[in-house]
Amino acid sequence: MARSRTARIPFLTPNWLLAILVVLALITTVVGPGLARRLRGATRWALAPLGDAGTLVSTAARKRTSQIAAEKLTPRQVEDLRRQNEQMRRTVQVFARRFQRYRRAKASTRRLYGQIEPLEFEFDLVAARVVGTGSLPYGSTRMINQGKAAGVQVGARVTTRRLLTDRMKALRIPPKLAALAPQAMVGWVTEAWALGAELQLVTDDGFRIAAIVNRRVDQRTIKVIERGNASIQRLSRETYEDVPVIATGNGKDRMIVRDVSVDFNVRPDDLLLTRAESYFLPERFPLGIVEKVTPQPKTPGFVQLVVKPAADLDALRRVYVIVPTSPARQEP
Amino acid sequence: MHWVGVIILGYVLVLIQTSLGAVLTIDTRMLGPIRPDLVAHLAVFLALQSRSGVEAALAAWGLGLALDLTSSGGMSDSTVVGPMALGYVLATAAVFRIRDLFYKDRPLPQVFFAAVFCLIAHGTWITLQQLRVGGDEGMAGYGQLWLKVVALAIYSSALMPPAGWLYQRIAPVVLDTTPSRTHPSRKR
Repeated sequence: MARSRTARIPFLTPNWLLAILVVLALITTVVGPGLARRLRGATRWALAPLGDAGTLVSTAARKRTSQIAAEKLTPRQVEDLRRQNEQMRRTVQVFARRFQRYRRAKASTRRLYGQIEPLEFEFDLVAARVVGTGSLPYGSTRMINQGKAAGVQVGARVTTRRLLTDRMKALRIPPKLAALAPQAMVGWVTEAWALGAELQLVTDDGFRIAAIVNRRVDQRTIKVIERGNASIQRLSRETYEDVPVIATGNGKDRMIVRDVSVDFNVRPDDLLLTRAESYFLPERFPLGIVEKVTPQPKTPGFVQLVVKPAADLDALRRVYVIVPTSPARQEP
Repeated sequence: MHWVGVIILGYVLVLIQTSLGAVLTIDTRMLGPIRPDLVAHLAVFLALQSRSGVEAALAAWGLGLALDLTSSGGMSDSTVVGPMALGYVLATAAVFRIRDLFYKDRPLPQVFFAAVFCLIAHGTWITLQQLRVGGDEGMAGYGQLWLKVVALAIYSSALMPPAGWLYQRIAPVVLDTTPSRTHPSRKR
């Protein structure tokens, strides 16, 4: 049937059709990512509704396997966690009271100065679900089910909630422990269309963000270990500042920070945070935790940091897109 | 070839690859996550069983484009559309030409054909994307990407025998399985 139809148009033989399609593919390859974004936006809607169920299954499976691999906690660790939870609960109550006072103060201040300029970062959190992943394993991307219709725009930062109770269930920890819910940045929106968006994870090879390293060390002393020789150095005002860095994804499961001066004494367990200057997220927000500090052989005096993402990216399901509602500012 | 069947099956495979594909992911410390290319199995099957190489290449172009449209990231903030369509066409042409060298219905040759297909298709993809990105730092990661392609080819080809067995069962959905007419010159 198809053969007889094409036979009526002498030009459109299967050979010619293939040649035209190959040329089209070459053109789209050369034109660049702008056209690719438009094409993806025009076609991705077809996958989102049905991909949701499949992603739910795969996320649950990944979460399950990561829980099986986790080490079991000792009774003492459980007790420590319980104590820490209690302390945090009290801290949360204190901050909640302070926050109420702050809101009242802000409301009265805004009545006085509200006409001049916004006093703080204002944003909407758009809750979204991950409904798919990239079809090829070369990139770390996720497809979410909220797009331009919900206010999601390209460049918006995306966070998640990391609930420690998820992990504890598998470790048979007694119930009624408080859930810690720190938010961590998981990536940003690189493509957005009406009913969905593409999220690039912080571990993607193409991810690059201006960040700071916040050193979580004893404010009085710091232990620096160099090639087995331990020495104690006292921290000074100069060395305890946040360290501005550029963080990139390594294309696997970590982030990399290069060219950090050894003078900053960055060590494992220090925090990598977003910078407060960004329009899309003008707050210090957790990106990850420094896992390893290695010297850079080609540039003596500088080290490279391997950073573990703060969020569990393997089992990413619910995310929150930060949509600024303040007037636009220039990105640094 | 039954194009409606190919389109539906291709859609289902892309859907599985983008949602349930994470279940088949193997996390490696050196190369990162490795996932099989399930769509390649269908393209290899069509290249092995189709009567017309051009039709197999047309189907491969569509399947490759579907992968291009459902993946981004990895080399820059967004990869381009088209390289995988070209890669699939090239790989199909290669498999179609060498398919008569082996018994194509046996599992081991199918593993070989799937490995060749994935190496050509994904090798084309990373090469074209890398050429577009360029830069010394990008080229430094090119070798690493090839290692990932090899790992993906091994993983995908290992899954080819069960996929080939499945496609044999549903061959009438995607292929014209009516006996071919003998060429007039051979009629005696």
